[in-house]
Amino acid sequence: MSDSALQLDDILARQGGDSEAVVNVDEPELKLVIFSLGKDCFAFDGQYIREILVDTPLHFIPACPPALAGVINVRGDIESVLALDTVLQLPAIAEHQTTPTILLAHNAELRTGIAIERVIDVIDLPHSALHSPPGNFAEPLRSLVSAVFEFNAQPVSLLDFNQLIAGWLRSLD
Amino acid sequence: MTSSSEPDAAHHEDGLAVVRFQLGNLQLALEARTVRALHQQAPTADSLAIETLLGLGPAGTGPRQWLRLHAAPDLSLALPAPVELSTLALHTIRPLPRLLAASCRLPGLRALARQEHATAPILLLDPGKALSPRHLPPG
Repeated sequence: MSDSALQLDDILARQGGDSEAVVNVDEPELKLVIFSLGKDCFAFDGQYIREILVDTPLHFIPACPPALAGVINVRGDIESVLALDTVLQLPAIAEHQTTPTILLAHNAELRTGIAIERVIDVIDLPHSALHSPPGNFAEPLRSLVSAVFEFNAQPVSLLDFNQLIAGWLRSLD
Repeated sequence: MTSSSEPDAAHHEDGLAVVRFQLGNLQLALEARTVRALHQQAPTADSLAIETLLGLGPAGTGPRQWLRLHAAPDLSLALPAPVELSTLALHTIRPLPRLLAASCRLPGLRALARQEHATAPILLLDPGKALSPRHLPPG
């Protein structure tokens, strides 16, 4: 009997030792803003998104290309707004005409609003969950999607904000 | 402002003097210093509708007032009435957002100004930059 008690102590000690030996590896994560645009889901790297604006009136400016949806007043600052559906050559989202959801985005060079349909979530995603985009994307998505991942069993395309802006500016030439 | 009045060309210390008017849903303004005179009556000289100058379709049919510009003294610019002289506070005037500046083809658009009681901006135009030789009377 005493042998059996010693064995149990050994087992318990070994189990305690095992739990202490667990190494917490922090996998690098990316903060992502996931949103819908029609039947598709997209995301931007959260480092480029400064604010999510809802019910902000959008004002039309004449003589602009269709992708420049207008301007908004953000606490006294006036910002341009890009219609992402038009930039991505997707079917138009009717809400863009009045008060779409707007992501206030920025990079080192500029700041702009980006009109989308609806924000789905803001998440932290491990880098390992990102996959290379499939080769069957047509332009302009082929140039603008840097990775794909799955969220709530739906495919999401991660858009490269810098490439989006640079590509759109180039398209004006 | 009376018939054929001379707008105050000075920049106010705390603001920018502008000649302001509404075109459809758009609030527009020109720097007052670019304006030589405002007339209530149709001029005998050549007249150009603001809609034509800006490429925004045919001229409206409502009441009009006519500006004479320093940039084109022989030309009268027809604007929808009422045309008002006002001052925009300096802190309300903003440069064009970069994407708008790069893409907007509205002739002479120089800046935007926010309004105190509305979210729609005022579009500040430079009429001298909007005018091209084809707008000017011959000679």
